[in-house]
Amino acid sequence: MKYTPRIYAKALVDSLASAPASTHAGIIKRFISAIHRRGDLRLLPLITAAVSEIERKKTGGKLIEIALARRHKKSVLDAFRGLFAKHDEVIFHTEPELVAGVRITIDHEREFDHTALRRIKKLFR
Amino acid sequence: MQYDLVEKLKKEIAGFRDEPGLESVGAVVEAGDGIAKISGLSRAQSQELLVIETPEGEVFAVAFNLEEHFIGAVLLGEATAVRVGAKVRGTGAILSIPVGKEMIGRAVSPLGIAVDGKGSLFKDVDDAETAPLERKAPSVVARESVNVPLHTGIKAIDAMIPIGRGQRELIIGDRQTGKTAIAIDTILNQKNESNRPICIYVAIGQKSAKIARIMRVLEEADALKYTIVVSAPASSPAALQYLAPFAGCAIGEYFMDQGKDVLVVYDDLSKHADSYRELSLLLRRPPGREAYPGDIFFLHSRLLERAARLSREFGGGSLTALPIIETKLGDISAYVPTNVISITDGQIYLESDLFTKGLRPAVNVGLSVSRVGSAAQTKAVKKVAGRLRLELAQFRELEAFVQFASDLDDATKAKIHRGQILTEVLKQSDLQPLAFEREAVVLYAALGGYIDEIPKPRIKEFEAGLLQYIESMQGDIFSKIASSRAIDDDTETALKSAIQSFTEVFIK
Repeated sequence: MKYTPRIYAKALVDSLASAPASTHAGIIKRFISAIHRRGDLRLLPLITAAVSEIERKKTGGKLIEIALARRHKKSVLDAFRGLFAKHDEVIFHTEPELVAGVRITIDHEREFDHTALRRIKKLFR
Repeated sequence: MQYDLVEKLKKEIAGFRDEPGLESVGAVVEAGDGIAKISGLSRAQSQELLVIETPEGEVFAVAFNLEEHFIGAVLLGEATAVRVGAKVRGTGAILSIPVGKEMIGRAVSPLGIAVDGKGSLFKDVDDAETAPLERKAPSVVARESVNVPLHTGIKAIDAMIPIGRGQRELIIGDRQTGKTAIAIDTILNQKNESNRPICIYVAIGQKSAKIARIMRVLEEADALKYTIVVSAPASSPAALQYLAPFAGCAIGEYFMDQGKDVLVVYDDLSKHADSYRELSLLLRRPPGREAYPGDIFFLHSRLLERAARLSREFGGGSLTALPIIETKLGDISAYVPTNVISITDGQIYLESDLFTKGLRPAVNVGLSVSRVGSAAQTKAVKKVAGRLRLELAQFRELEAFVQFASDLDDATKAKIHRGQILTEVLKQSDLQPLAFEREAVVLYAALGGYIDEIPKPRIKEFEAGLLQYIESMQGDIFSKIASSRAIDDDTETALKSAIQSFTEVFIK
């Protein structure tokens, strides 16, 4: 049977939670060799994302991805970060193709798109 | 020219309103074989139209499987353009197609796009009405019993297996037995009808050459002016073949809701079941009997239940369905054939043996039945063809003794002879449907014993001559039967004398 990234992630999180911190490095090492044995190493980015999701859900946090057209000063990024709760994980991307504006994605499911790219697309649709 | 374009664009920009808000999005995690697995979009509904953003443009998909973490979607566009990670947006709309009277005389894809090279269907597709592909069948209250005939123009069918408007009559048989020919003849015959229904021919998984040939036949017979062809040829993706009958039905319902009569031919539902099986297996739905998914019965029942005759309060329109099923080696007890037989209101069973013997249409009268059509049968045909089924049944019983005909008594000999005559009369070439008043006249002559003296090889000649004689010498007989839809005593007397005088001349 094939394991999904979620199953791997849940197994890792449970193993880490039930063991003392000193053993965590060994657990992670053995976990990686286990997925390597099963030929699922390509799932590693998905497993990492699933682990982050499980951890976030424990605190009720959300994954916030903010895409901007160009690099901004730290003060601007902090202002964006300030819009969300403390336990939300906020990640910034720079995507020049957005032309201008901002696109905020919450948990890969909800999106607030206020970019020039979207407006241009909508205008010419 | 350039100035005009700039001005037009400026106007559009001036009137452009954009209110950004929170939207549901997802991402493609797997794609291939016309199927995509999508994460996110947890609020998507079943059959919702999704838009996948690809570098080549937008590709549409339909949400099929709603699972805990993923959505299994069927791609409706260029599947090769879809890549893992592509963004997916929900539209909140159930899959629907643009509909309108502009579709009549055209060939369209299951997505409502013209495929006949005659340009776009609508001046502005945004102004066209839309119809959902999946719709609930009319309720019991909205329905009325089938009471108006749908003449096929085929003597054997109109006399013994009459079809009514709003009925679902299955055409079933092996390959090359004339299933499509019956459906096409029925469409062609509607040209003779005063209250002509709009015909929709849905080609599912057929060869493109066959569809082109059918289009040509319809055009040459001037039948395209009241016909719509929904084309999902064998080369189209399974998703489009799956959607084709629902698209045909949605177009039909649009006209039915306007109080019009509609005839929809689904050619054929065996291939439709195959395309649904393909999609279901790719979506990893559990396979059942013959690897079809568990809901294969529901697939066809929900489609065919949409055929109905609506009551006056609901507009009085009707949608008649003629589904076609191809059997393998005459096995009507296979999974899909038995399903569709049980769903429909009767079946026209075509047999290879009869076809090879030259009995065309190769209708097996014993296995064919129309459960509701007799109530709708035209009085004129009912009056003359009442004894036809019985006489043919008696003939079949005695048929085995034909070789020993010399040893039989006169009554048996007469029954065999009459059976042979009737069998000959019921033979009919394809693309030559007869108006019901002509059918009534031919059957009256045959069952009245007026043809008994005619040698078998000359029966077709007699039939053509009789119709021509009545048309030219006593044309009012046809017009009286056509208008009153019955044969009254005066008409019968005139008909009898016309047949007698023609027979005398013909025998001499």
